[in-house]
Amino acid sequence: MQMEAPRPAPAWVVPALVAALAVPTFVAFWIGGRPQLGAVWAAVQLTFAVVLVAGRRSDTIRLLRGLDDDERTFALESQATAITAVVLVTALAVLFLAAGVRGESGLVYASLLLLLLLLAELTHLGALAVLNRKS
Amino acid sequence: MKNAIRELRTQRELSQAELAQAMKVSRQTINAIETERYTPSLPLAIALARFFERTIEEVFDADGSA
Repeated sequence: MQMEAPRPAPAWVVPALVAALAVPTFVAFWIGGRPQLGAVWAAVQLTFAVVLVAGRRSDTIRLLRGLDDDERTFALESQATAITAVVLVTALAVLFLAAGVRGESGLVYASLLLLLLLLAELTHLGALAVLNRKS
Repeated sequence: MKNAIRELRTQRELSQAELAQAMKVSRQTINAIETERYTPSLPLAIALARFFERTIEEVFDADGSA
């Protein structure tokens, strides 16, 4: 049987979460001694939150905010999440190769890639086990 | 999947939004079903058939699936 869509979250949740990320972003850069840069990144977060609120007539924004949640959007979200994961891992692999071309070790990207792949595999296994039991 | 949703809906003089509200899905989902871009889940297909007082086979044409 097909999975049922989860209950939709209130309309304010996604913009509020995006806006709330501005705080740890600013604090992290402030701790690192670059508060001005933190303010810029926090402003980017807040701008994105404003776009999410102001663009509620756009179908894509409505999807992002979960305003029209039903079984079709749930399926779209699942597919989009899978595509996003593939793109992220591919981007890391490309960055690793680009580091090699630049004569760098690429250790940062390689270790991040390995860590993400390990995390992805564990999450995948765990999710399959739980979802299999529930279905 | 080919279906008769649009035909049945217009027969009842319902808008996509009104049918969507009755089915508790979005208007875009009704539109996607009518234009054969989305195949509904079994519960939604049954709900649609019941709503129009038809059998599943009368509403959906499995042989004409895309």
